[in-house]
Amino acid sequence: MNFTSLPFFVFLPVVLLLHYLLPHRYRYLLLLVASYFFYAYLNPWLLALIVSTTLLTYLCALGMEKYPKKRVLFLIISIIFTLGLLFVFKYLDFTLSLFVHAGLSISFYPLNLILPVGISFYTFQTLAYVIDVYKGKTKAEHHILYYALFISFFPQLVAGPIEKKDNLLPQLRAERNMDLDKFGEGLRYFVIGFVKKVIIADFLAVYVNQVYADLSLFSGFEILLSTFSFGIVIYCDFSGYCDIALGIAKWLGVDLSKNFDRPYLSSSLKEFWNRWHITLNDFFTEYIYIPLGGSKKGRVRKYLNILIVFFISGLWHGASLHFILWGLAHGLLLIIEDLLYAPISKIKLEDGAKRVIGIVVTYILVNLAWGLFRAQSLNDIAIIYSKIFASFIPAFDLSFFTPEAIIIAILGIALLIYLPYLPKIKRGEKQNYAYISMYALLILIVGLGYFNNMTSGGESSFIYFQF
Amino acid sequence: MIVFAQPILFLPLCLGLLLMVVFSFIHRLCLLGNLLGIASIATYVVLSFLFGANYLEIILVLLITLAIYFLFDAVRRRLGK
Repeated sequence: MNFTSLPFFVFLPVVLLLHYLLPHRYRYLLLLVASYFFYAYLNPWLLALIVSTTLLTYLCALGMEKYPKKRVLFLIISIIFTLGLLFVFKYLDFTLSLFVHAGLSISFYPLNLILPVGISFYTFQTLAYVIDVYKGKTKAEHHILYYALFISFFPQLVAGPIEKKDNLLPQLRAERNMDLDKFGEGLRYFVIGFVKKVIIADFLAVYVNQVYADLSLFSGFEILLSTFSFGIVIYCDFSGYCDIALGIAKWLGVDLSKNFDRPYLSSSLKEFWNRWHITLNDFFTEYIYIPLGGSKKGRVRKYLNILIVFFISGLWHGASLHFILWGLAHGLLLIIEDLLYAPISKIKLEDGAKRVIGIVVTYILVNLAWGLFRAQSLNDIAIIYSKIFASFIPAFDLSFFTPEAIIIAILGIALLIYLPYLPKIKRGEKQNYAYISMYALLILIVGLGYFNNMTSGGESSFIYFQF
Repeated sequence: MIVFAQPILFLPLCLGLLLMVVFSFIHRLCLLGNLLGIASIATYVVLSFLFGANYLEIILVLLITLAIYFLFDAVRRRLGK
């Protein structure tokens, strides 16, 4: 089920209502059934994958606790099983096709398996759990149903945030009651998420998709504009999804981890990666970068580690060369930034001015790199950058755009800047009633945008669902 | 655009905005005023559809309305009301 699909708007109120009607001791069962239903609604056989991953990692973690001398074996079994599933469904065809392209004479018949939604997210969540149990950072969970709920909790199941056991499980166990503060906080996240998705991402995506459908038809200026627009689309799409997830979880009494912290206001790439998809980057730092030696084994090793991490990050986003190039480009830019850090810090400029310049430069670099991410092939990449850098023509064709759509896009971006300041409905707040009408107006706008997208067949699924 | 060609449509919209802004200063009547305000704006949406406006036009006008409301809200907060 998708957060923007109509059945979800029936599913969510029913789950929330039952959740607060049921006594605390049955709530986890309701949430588990609801989560599996939510997942199976997309495709029932997906359940087999998540259930088998849950069972195997649950047993392996228990095995590590019971037989400490054999814990390496249990860790290896868990890693091979979880990453093996991910490899088969996500990377097998891609790997075989690479062998064929490399000239190896193997007969290759693509399996064309459907990528199970959310597999990259819950694989990493289970991996983090078994590694933590292996290292003794956390204890194995003995209650299988609570563990299953930890893996499948529906607000964060299909696109994160990737949660650690010690953050999510105690909250799922605790008795949770709805109060006005939690409700207001949840509503704020929920509405902000939908505004980002429906009013900004979906509107701009129409333009971006049009340009990227056939790049050869458009000028360098249009490609540049659509690439920068894609930067807004992907931010609003993914952070919008995360906001909706955070909002729903808050209504269920659970605080999920924050995945975004206004990343486009970062003054360096290093800062950007601390503010963009935070839980995934925490995973890479803790389970790949630091075990590889991090920055403690000399400069060359540090840069190699950065490249490895960003290579994996690119590959995690999809089995395609353009994702790998996107990851490597970020890795290289981070290395260059690190090399330039000392000379740049010697430049005498006010801190504020340095920060502004840093924000602008980071924004431009990150958005230029989105071209690698959004491209469909290496040929696309060649067209994008050759047109932007080699034959830049400031021509702009607005024929497929209505004036309303342009103004809505501009107003939507202005709204995006205001959203962090959106007031919260909370206990003792004098203006609660005024805020209710403000939210009602926002919901009205989102509702109209939603039906507009539905009737015009526009973007409705979340980009990160494909990862 | 149809909504701009039919000035009568702006009556419920402006009334709704006025009610929401004014009554946010009067705490006792805040709920009533804001409910009437949002009902008035909903009337605008229905009327716009009846006049044949499309989604984009209505959304555009509502976004402008929201921007004006945010502006008043910022002023109100600055005044500490």
